[in-house]
Amino acid sequence: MFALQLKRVLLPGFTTVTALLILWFAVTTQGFFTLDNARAILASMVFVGMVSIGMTLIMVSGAFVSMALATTATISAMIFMASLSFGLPVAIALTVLVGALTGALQGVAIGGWNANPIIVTIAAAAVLEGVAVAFSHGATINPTGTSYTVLNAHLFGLPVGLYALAVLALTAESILRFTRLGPMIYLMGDNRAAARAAGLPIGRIGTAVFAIAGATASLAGIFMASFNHSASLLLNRGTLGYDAIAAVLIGGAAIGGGRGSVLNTMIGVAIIAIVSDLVLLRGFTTGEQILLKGLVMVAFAVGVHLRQEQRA
Amino acid sequence: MIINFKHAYLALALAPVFPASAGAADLSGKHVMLVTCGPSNPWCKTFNERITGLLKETGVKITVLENDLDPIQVNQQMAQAVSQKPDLIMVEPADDKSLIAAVKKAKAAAVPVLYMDSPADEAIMDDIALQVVADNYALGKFAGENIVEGLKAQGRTEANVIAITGSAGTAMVSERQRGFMDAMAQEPAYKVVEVQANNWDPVESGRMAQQLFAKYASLGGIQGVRADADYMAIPILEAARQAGLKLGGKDGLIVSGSTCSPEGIAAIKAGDMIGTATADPWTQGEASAQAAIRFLSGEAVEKTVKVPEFRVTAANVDQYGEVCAK
Amino acid sequence: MKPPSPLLSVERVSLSYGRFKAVREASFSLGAGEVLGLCGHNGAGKSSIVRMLSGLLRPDSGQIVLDGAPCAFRSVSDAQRQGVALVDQELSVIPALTVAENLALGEPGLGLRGTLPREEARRRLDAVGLDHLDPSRPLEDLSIGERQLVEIARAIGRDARLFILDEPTATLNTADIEHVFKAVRRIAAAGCGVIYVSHRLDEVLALCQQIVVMRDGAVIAEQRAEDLNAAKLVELMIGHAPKPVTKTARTADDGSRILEVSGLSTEPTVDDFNLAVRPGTVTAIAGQVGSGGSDVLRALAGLAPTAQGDVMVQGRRVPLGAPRRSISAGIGFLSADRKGEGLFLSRSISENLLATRLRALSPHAVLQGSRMRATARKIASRIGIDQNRLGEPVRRLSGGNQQKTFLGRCMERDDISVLMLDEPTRGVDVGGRADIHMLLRELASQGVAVIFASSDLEEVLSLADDVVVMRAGRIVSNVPVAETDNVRLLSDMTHARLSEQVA
Repeated sequence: MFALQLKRVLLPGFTTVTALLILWFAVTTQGFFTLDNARAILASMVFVGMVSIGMTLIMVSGAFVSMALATTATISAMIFMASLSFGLPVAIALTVLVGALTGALQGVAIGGWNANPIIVTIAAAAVLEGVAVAFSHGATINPTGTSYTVLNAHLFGLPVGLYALAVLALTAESILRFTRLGPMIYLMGDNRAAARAAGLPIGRIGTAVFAIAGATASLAGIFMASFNHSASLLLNRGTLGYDAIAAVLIGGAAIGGGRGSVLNTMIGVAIIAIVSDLVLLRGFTTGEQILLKGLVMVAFAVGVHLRQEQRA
Repeated sequence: MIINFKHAYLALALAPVFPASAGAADLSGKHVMLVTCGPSNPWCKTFNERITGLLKETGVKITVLENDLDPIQVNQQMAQAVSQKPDLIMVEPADDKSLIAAVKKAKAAAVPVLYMDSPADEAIMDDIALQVVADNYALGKFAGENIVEGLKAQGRTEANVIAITGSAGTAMVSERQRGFMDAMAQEPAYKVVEVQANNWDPVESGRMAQQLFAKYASLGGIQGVRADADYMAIPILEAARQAGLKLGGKDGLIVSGSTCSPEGIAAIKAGDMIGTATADPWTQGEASAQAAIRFLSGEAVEKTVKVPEFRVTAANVDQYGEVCAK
Repeated sequence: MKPPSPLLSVERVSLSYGRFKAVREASFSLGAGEVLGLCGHNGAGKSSIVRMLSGLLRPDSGQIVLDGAPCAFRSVSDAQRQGVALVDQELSVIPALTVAENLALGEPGLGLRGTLPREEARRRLDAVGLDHLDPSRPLEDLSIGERQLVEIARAIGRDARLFILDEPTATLNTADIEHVFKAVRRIAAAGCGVIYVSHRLDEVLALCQQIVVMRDGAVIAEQRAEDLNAAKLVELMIGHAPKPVTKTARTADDGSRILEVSGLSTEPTVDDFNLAVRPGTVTAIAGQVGSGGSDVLRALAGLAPTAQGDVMVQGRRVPLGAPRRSISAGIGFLSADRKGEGLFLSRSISENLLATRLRALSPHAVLQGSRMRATARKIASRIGIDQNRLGEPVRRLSGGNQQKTFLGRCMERDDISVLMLDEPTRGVDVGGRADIHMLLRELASQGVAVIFASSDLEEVLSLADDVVVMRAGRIVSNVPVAETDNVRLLSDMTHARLSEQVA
């Protein structure tokens, strides 16, 4: 009985303590509570945020995670740079289309044929990278003209990418809440066998989810390319995909599917951005930064999920 | 014509180090294994192409093992290379310490190792056949000189400078940082307030710069940035624009790159970047290949071949533009 | 007469989930060598008692005394160490391992793939009547019923003093049930105590010496089994006698057929199945577990990839093998595996009710909220689920209400002309069972052809108009319910000669 009560007190306490620790860190960190830093944090959410939108839908739909989204973003960055010669609107449309198509192909395999999502997406990432190497021969792809710099512009002190992220997140959340596809994604994620027996079009749902994920990842790539003024596979060096998965988990989506929300994932993205900023500002070494960031992410994800277990 | 000019330039630059005779050697029957970083990195692409191109001219058989600068992968490929018993292994290290055991194994198997780019660890100095290293100290020093010169030209009496470097695990990166700090020490009024490493990641470089700009906004701001590669400097320039900072000119941010690339040259020409330095893959690859050819021909080669490096600024950018564009 | 010091006594135990009091000051006791039947509606508190006794939950107040010593189980494994063995419907055997390896699971000193001495495995299997079973067979080759017996055999091996069997026979056929009974009697004879939880009152009356009846979380009767009968038990459980299902008057056969099945086969479970069903009738496919009835339904629902045969609904041919095709042809199906293949447990009741009609309610891509809410409320009121609970996850509902929700999915729809149910009341309490039967009759009276597969004789006889009996994948008999009775049914199900089969 004592242990049970202990658990009841400990679990909410766990998340609260982590949050308080972060707050204390924030207060005592020079330069954290400034408008400039808030802007810098918000700006750093753009790429992870866009990728994590698709990752949320994938996890909610029961397909666990995609290991191909970060690579999709990188490849999209290269396609975008290469296709700028056709003009900015065409380049964006073409890139998003290719992103959505590569996603959809994975979705057909995963949704329709019930293939293992981890294997399919890892394979897809390898294929995408191979194709990119073959076409670019490993070179950096430089843009034609400067039309893309409009994507680096500012509105009211915030980068255009952040507004794009907000619009994308709201759109994705609306799809989940207000369109017929939304409940279908949740139901399929909760119980795939039941969804099949109930006659839900699981192949099409899976395809739609992965196509949306591919499209949002390719938008992340477009903004990444614009920010770097060129694109190469070097853009794939970072932890984009893993950060997106962590954001989705911190946002409380069920690993097995059937539960989650894009807006909650955005909170996860913000937490990761804040923590990354804090460990940098406090002057930890790179190794320490990675360790601390990892610890905080685990603490949040575990805390959130234990609380949900308790509620269920 | 352009090619000829380039060769002329290179011959000039490298003449004291590499006798021109090397190009004529016939080494058919010899086998070289090249353990190097892979095609997802544009620098490595040019570097590898230059090495394999020159070696093939001599008829040597060359096997290339590419990796993602992942220490574990590099070690596996070293083991693989040793097992083939080639006449020479050329290795581009991902992490100096983690290669110690692999190099010692090669020595035990009597396979000579040519260590490239980053200086080898003291512990394996006797085990490698030779090394061809960039003059990393000079590269760091040039960045420091670029920044000091730029800040002085703006008439600043004091300034905050940050450095955003490649992977902290290699001697190459720490050597450059040492050269940089020595150059900055000449002007104590300019303080290096932050040194942050990342895994040669352009996206991460941009994020770090942006957040450090914010951190120092109320503490006098940042006036100078050193980036360990041009491709890391470009997103830093963009981060500065996003943070509302001006670039170059009379009072803007002074940014210096390194291991020059076309984007960097363009930024120098546009006045956004103060300067960069060589250690470009074309020159670096050529030097490594020439040393290998001389070694295989049985010529006496000094243990450590240091590739001379050059500082690039707006003043001489046209001269280096082409070698950097390779 | 109870022994002076009982093996187990539950003393004024209470348990709440939030504000909901699941168990209120329940007390009862169990002597060594006794079998105690625990009866009650779903939601009466039986499961909570079971969970507390097996260490899954701790009581808020009161105590559990085992062998004279109060015990507070810290966890399931702690309860196991102290001599409690739980066998429930959520099988904890591992399909990928062999029978012998499963028997050794949790045995001290043996790893995951450790095995017992062959004689020991044999002894335990014999104790549950699996004397024909080779311990080296992989568990996944066994029927659900056999797996259950393996689970009981494993508990026997743990030297438990108190066995809790939670609905052990819900998925078993008659022969396997007999094995379970034998096993239970042997355990009791060896001086252990057994708590037997079941909806099947005849089983409880036959097997138990003592019966505890719960209602609304409280123990309302603790009596010797010989003082009770089925009718009295039902009355105690639901507070009043259940209403018999009223069948619609049998209409004259006008020759119309809503469903015609000919030559249906699914390798290797069903062979040449033929059936014609009139609208507005209820047809039972009776048979023991594994006799093929549920395979027929699954094939018609499009869930059997190997199915072959001609199926016509309202004169139109239905291609087999794709659930969506069957559904668009007007065939609704409720799987026996309610949790695995039926409900979306963590989603809301409302979403579960509407899962199959998203397209119908929102023909354009945008959801029509008010229309959906209205429909959900309408169905909820028809199946008797509190409208205020529509937003709650289905997981929280009792088995009976879960099944009603599942059924509700196929109601209030004019596009379903054939409704098929596999074991429609498995794991459902007496009251819920009567409600579901009533709903099915109602649907039939609206012209829907209802077909259900069941191994429960009483259900078959009380609900169906026509009874098809299957054995070993073939039809044994097909007669109107008036022409059969439980004796004939049971004999058809178990030992009729296959040559007597009718089309």
